[in-house]
Amino acid sequence: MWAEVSDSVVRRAPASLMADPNERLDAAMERYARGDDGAFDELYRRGAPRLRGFLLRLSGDGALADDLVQEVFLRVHRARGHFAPGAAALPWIFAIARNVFLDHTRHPRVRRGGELREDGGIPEREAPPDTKGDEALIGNELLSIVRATLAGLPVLQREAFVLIRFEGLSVSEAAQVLGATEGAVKIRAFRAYEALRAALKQNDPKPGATR
Amino acid sequence: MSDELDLQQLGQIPDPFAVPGDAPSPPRPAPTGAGPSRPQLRRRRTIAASAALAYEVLWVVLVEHRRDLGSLPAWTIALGLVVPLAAAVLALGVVTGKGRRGLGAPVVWLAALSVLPVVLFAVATVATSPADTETARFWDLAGRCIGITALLTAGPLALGGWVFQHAFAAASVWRTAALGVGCGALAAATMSLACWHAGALHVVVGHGAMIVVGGAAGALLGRRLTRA
Repeated sequence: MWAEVSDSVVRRAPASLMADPNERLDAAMERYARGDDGAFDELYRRGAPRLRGFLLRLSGDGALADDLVQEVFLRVHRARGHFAPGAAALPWIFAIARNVFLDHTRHPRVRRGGELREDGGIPEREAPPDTKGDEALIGNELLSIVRATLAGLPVLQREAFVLIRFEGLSVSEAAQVLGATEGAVKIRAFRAYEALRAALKQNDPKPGATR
Repeated sequence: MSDELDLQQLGQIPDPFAVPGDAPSPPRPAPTGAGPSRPQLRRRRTIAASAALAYEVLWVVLVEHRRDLGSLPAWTIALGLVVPLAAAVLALGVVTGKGRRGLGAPVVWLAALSVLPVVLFAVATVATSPADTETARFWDLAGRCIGITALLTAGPLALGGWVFQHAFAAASVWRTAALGVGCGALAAATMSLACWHAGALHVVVGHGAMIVVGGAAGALLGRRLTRA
């Protein structure tokens, strides 16, 4: 089951950000950095969907992802003058989003409330009501396993895996976004992959279906 | 674990949140207030750099300068300035460098380039300075100079904190540490005009300690002050 599923997913994997730059997003960010407040709407329109996807995959919570998107754009506004001329906007915004997410996980209220485990993992949740994308093709069970396993991973592994697998960044790009070495990011992503693979294999009804 | 991470393998994991047509909430009104644009920040940088230099120069002119400044050969003065200034320029290059993707240099480079000015200062000072003569009063003299250098570091570092507030989306700790190293090195350069003790160990400890302390202070400030 998993092997069949993975082919369709691999085909839909996003291309590298550097190979396929979002030039209009970059241009909007550049205008915004120069002080054109009118560029904010376009920046939000183009950047928010990708950003929400990233934060949703990190947090597993649609409502929380929406809140964090707003916080990220506030910080983008605060830091806009520091956006380097000619740089790609998305990795820069992802790096800020990662800071926002980490700040959220470190918040005392979040920790006290038990929303996050000590290892930085997030609790298993119901999927947001609007997440029906791959589920129609793959089945809820498989995606639930991935969701639950992803939620149980330490944040460092989860963010590396999400950036490389789902957001389409190269290892080098992810390392810069995460402020880590390429070697460390590779290891984190691979550990996450191994955990996910093991979970899928354990729950696969057909023995030997996975490699 | 395999020795090598095969990125293709990661594609085997399905995306549990792949949502065609999924849309984020509509934006809140465009933020107003504290969000300086690039031209405003450029002005702020110019003001801060000018103020930092003025602070150092005024210290030498108004507060303290070495008694033998007028009689020293030009090359001696230049050497005392060049070594720490080179370290400061190197460190500040790390702070302002945008890297290939606008996120600064890779973290390995940041770490190496943050430490390099410290090593450069220590090695070049030992190589070019005479031996210490007043060994009996070493810690008295060094302690006094450390105090003055701390004041000379604090001013530029505060101005740097103002300029680079919320500036770094990634690796803020390393880049702010480099800012502290740069400010410490600038103070060490000023001290070469303010203090007449030119012994190698005195200069390394008395004038150079703040390069390390400034770096540590910068690293502490990084997460709260300069992270975007």
